[in-house]
Order: sequence, then structure tokens, then C-alpha cells
Amino acid sequence: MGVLSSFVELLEENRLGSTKIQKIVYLSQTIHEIPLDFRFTLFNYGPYSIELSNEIENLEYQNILELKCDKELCHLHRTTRDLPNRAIKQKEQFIDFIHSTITTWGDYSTKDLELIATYIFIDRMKAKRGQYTQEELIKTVKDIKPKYSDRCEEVFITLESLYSFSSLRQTS
Amino acid sequence: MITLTLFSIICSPSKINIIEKNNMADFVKGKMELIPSEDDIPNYFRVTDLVNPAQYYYYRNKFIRPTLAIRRKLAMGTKLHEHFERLWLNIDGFERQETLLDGVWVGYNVVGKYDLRFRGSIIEIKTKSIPVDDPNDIFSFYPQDLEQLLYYVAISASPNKNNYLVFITDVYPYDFSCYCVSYNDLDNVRRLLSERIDLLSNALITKEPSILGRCRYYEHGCQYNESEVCKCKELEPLPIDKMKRIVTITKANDFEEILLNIDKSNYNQDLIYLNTFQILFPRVWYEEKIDEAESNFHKSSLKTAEEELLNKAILDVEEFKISHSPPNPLLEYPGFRVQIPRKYLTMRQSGKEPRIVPYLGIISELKNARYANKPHDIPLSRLAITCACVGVDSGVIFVHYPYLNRRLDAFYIEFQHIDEIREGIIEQLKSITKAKEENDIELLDPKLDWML
Repeated sequence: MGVLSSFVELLEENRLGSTKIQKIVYLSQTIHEIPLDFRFTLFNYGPYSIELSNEIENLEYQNILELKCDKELCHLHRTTRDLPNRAIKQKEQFIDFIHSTITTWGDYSTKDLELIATYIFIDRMKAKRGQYTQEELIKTVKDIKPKYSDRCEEVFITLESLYSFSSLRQTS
Repeated sequence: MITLTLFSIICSPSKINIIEKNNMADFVKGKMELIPSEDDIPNYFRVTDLVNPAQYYYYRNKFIRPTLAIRRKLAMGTKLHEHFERLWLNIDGFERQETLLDGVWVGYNVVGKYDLRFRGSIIEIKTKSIPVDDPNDIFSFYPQDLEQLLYYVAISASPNKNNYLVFITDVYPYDFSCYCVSYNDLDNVRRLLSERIDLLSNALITKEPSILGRCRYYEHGCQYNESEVCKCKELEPLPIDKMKRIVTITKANDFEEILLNIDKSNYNQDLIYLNTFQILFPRVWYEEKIDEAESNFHKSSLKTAEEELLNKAILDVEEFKISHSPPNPLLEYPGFRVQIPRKYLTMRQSGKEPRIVPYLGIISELKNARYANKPHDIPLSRLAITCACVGVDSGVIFVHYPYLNRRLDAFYIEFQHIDEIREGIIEQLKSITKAKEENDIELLDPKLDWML
């Protein structure tokens, strides 16, 4: 609760929608190692957690977050309602990790975050089965996200400087 | 390759007729937006009026609808009350209060209805957004709950010395904690009630709400504060020192143990209990019951509360009321108990006799109106399974969209292939039997992508 509400609060200007928060939390768990323990599966818009979706709705129910919709675009908003003590403690415990997640990923578009999170999800899945080449990895992501195939290579290059792929075999 | 057999049998577009019913949606929407009439204020106090006298004062003078956040909280509270009461009534010694407790028999013009009784002790269940870990928190943050329990004690003819407050968190996993509230002298408890009655009566006669102190829900979204109708901002809460002197609150660990020890003998251990969702996606059942995996299909409190508000509104529509008993489940298969929601309404169509059909109230989280044009295939399939099980070929789905300006749609759905669906269900039950016998989940219909 504390970490999630902080993401919404600190990314308020970026108009955080339900897809983007899913990717930010996924990256915070996998790369920045914030132990939120949400289970993610690969869905239409990249890694998605039904538990996280429920948690966001629970925070809306508790009046801590609010989903504001303007025409067809919705974004999460942190209300003025105080957090319970245990949420404040969680926020304090992980504040550095929260900031590093936001500094690294906050300014990326939802579309790029979808690709980034998908790359990492596929990389981790493939790593369990052995080594793969860079071309194979990019092809898999292109197959999953044909709509964004024109961005796949560019996003891969950006991601390479930020994340160490565990499934990749060195290409000659 | 395994395909979604039952799902594809049901969702065959040429065999389903979906008709939008604007009038039916309007009836339900009307009930959801309803502002109750003000002339039903009784000439006695209810215990709930006395525990928050400031709010009651303003309510008597001007009705203001509670905010959506409060309505959701109340709906979630109702849902959890029903759930836990049902569960705990299976425990030996628990009983439900069947009629109103009328204080007139002990000299008070006050009525009330407590939640449960256990071997003579009154049990009051309260839902909270955070766990209540310390007895002192009850005095500090929830004195109204303590007062409520004590007022029930005061209007009882021969109450027990020990009674209980049970606090349940209103988000999953719904943790609960129990506290024993003990008193030594019943006269002291009754004196508290008398003083509160006098205070509230005086305020109403003199039209002076300031003597009632700050509303107990001042910081929790009280509609009279948010509408700036009340004077609570300038006031202090009512003192609780007297109450502190006459009661002792202790953590009731033994009682908590009793509540955890639920007797499941009402369930036949030899039967497989399945709901409509599990019939549709039996791997969900298999993973939870056979593999004992932790379920990730817990509905959020937001959805549960909205669903409760919707279902309450549907039940309140006079035109939908049924005049005779609904059909009994017809589908029986050895080793299984199919659990069908008993939700029925009277369907009316020009030129046709009214008929009783099942309905489903669902909450859609769609945020784009472009896609909100018909019910999703999953609720449609759940309704189809219900219809097939009770031998009816049509039903109604109400869809409420909290994010689309609280829109509400109603759809009357006719299934032209109800016998085929019934056969599909039986095939599904056969597969479940086989999968269980052979310990092989692969024999079951796969889940949809988002469930993987």
C-alpha cells in the first residue's frame, strides 16, 4: 500500500494509468527488488498482475487512490487521505528504491514500458530454459507485440544499458 | 490440442439472442440513486441513532445522502457481516437475533438488533479499514462501537457480564480480532444509556446540536461535514471517561480460536462443490482444491461493494419481485453439488406471460465506453450455466460501470441451445471426475490467457 501510493503520488504529473502502473510495479519488483510479491503473467499489454489490479481497487475503495477519467483517458490520483501507519513504514523502508524506480522508468511512455517489461518477462522465462540469442529474443517480443514491432530494436538497445539480460548468449 | 469446450459451446453467437432492456436498467438505476423518504423516522430511538447522536441530529433535520465512499463501506460491511454470520452460525452455541430487541421491557424506548449471540453473550461485528490490534484503540478510535455493544446490553433483560466486539478488516484477507468487553454493574451501563437518551432528546427539543459533540465519523467522510451543514469542526468529541471506568476490555484469544474452528459438517466431504465459474474453468477448482494452490481470484473490496450495491438495488425493484418459488436446480450428477446463485426476477414482455428467470448483477471495470456494448462472455456463460441447471432458457444480466459515469445496462438473454449447454456441463463434470481420479489437470479445459 505504501509503495503503490508513493508511485502514484510521485508520478502524478505523468498521469499514471492502469497499464503504466502495472509496468512500473513489475520493474520495481524485478529490477529494483522491492519485495511486493505480486504474481505477474503475460497479458495483452505485457506483464500483468490480477493481484496488483485488485490492490489498486482496494486502495480506491479505501479512498487512498482515485481513478480520474477524462473522456477516454483515466489516470490514478493520490487523495489527501492519510496512509495507515504500517503503509507509512513500508514507504519509508523502500523510499530509495521507489525513487530509483521512478528516476529510471518514470519518463518512459506507456508503450515503451510495455515493451521493456515484456522483454524482461520473456528474458526471465527463457533463462529458465537455457541460453538464447539476441535475435531470438527480439523476434519473440516482436511476435508477441506485432503492433510495436517498429520500436522493438530501439527499445532493446535502450534496455541493454539498464538491464543485464540473463538469457542471452553472446552473439558474434 | 485442448480447447475451451463448454465456453465455446455457450458462446456461439448464432444461438444467443441479446436484447437490451432500458426500462429494466432504469428501474435499478433509480433504486441505486434513491433518496429515502424522511417521514419514516420512528418515535423511538434506535441504538444506532444513539451511538452517533450528532449525525442523527442532522439526519433528523435534513437528509443528505452519504458519499459514494461511505455507501461502498456500508455495502462491504453488509457483505462481510452476512458472510461471517453465515459461517459462524455453523459453530455450536451461536445464534442469530430473530426479532428486534425492544428496550421497552426494561424501561427504555429504544430498539436494536445485535449481530449474533454466543452462549448468551452479545457479539457485535464491526468492519474496519485497518486491523484493531490494541484494546486501547477501541476507546481512542471506536468508542461508538463500544457504546453500541453496551446499549444492547442495557436493553437486554438478563445480559451476560462478558460480551464481544469482533473487528474484521474490510479488504482481503479479512483478518479479524476479538475483544471481550466486561462490566461489573448493569446499573452503570444502563445509566450510560439513560444519559445518552437525555442528551439527544434535549438537543432535539432545544435544537442545539453543539451539546452532542463532534460526530464520530467527522474524519471518516461524514456527509454533513463534507456538505458543511454541521458545526462539528468547532466541537470536541463526547467524553468517554465514564465508559472507561465501568468496562474492561481484554483481547479474547480463546474466543478467536472458537471463531476459527468452523464446523464444516454441513458440507458433505464426499461431494465436489462447484460454482458456475469453476464449471466454466475447472482448472481453477483443480488448482485450489486438489493442488491446494493459493487462489488469486479474490475480488477487490471496491468490486464487492459495488456488486452489493447493485444487487441490493435489483432486489428493491418492486416490478421484479417474484410471486412464487423459483425453479429448483434440475441438473444433478453423481458426486457433484452445483452451486447456483438463487437470484430470480419476474421478466415481463408484451404479449407474453410474466416468467421467473435467473439474473446476474456484474461490475465492469471498463473505462472506455466504446467497448461497453454487451455483457462479457464470462458472465454470459455463467448465466447460461445457471439457466441450464434450472431448466430455463433465458435470464437477465445487469452490468454496472463504476468508471463510466456509473452507467447501468440491462440485457435480456435468450439461449436457443440450452439442452446443448446442459450436455456440455455434464461433459465438464465427467472430465473433472476423470482428472481427479487420474490426478491429471491436463484433462481439463484450459484457463483463459489472463488466468495463466
